[in-house]
Amino acid sequence: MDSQKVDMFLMTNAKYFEGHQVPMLRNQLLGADDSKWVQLQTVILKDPTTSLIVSLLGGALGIDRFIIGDTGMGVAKLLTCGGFGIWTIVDWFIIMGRTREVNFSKFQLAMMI
Amino acid sequence: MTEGRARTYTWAYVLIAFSFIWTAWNFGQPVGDTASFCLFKNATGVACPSCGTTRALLLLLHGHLEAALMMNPIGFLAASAMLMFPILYLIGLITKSRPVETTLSLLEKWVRRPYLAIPLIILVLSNWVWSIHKGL
Repeated sequence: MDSQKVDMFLMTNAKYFEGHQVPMLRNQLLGADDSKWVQLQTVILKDPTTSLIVSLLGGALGIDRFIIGDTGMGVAKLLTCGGFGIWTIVDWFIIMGRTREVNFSKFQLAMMI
Repeated sequence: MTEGRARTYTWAYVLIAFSFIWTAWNFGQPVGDTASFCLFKNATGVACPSCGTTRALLLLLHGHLEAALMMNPIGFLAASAMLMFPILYLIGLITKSRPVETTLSLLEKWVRRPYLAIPLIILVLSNWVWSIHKGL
């Protein structure tokens, strides 16, 4: 894939990933062929800041987990009232990192297809 | 199993362990207000979807099945989970497989299917409405 496309992708989407993953992503993209570009466009990445806001407002109901696709954890969180409240608070701190993790997995999945 | 998944399962163990500790702690006490420090209730004034689960579970443990159902059916779900977990864990110790993790990932796969997800959502929501109606 040509570097202009790669840099364009990274400029728009770097914030959805962890800082240390970006060079890795760049190399992967540069090494991939152009057909992957279409595949990449179909990936829906979740904004960590949105996840944080959802977590702060509706974290006790597990909505933050549902939004990033952690359905099982969302159900568990919902049925235990935010893990006795403790999980709710813990997630306020880890939801952004978890969102970036999920985004990275989605990216890798798209690159593999 | 990825590192992320392994960490998630560790938290599942912590959650179940805490459920046992919480239940045991409340078992010896007279029936009190188990939700006095519930974040949701204090913030909104109404019950959260799982309000009354602890009380229902305690009623169940004391043998009052109908009262437990009336309090919150999720208590039965909690009881099943707290029964299944140690059994699966012991099986895992004996057979050197990982039934806990396998069961959890199976459950997660099933719960995403629309034919299960939609009825479950409706059940949870109607239970929640009922809880608020009961004034839990």
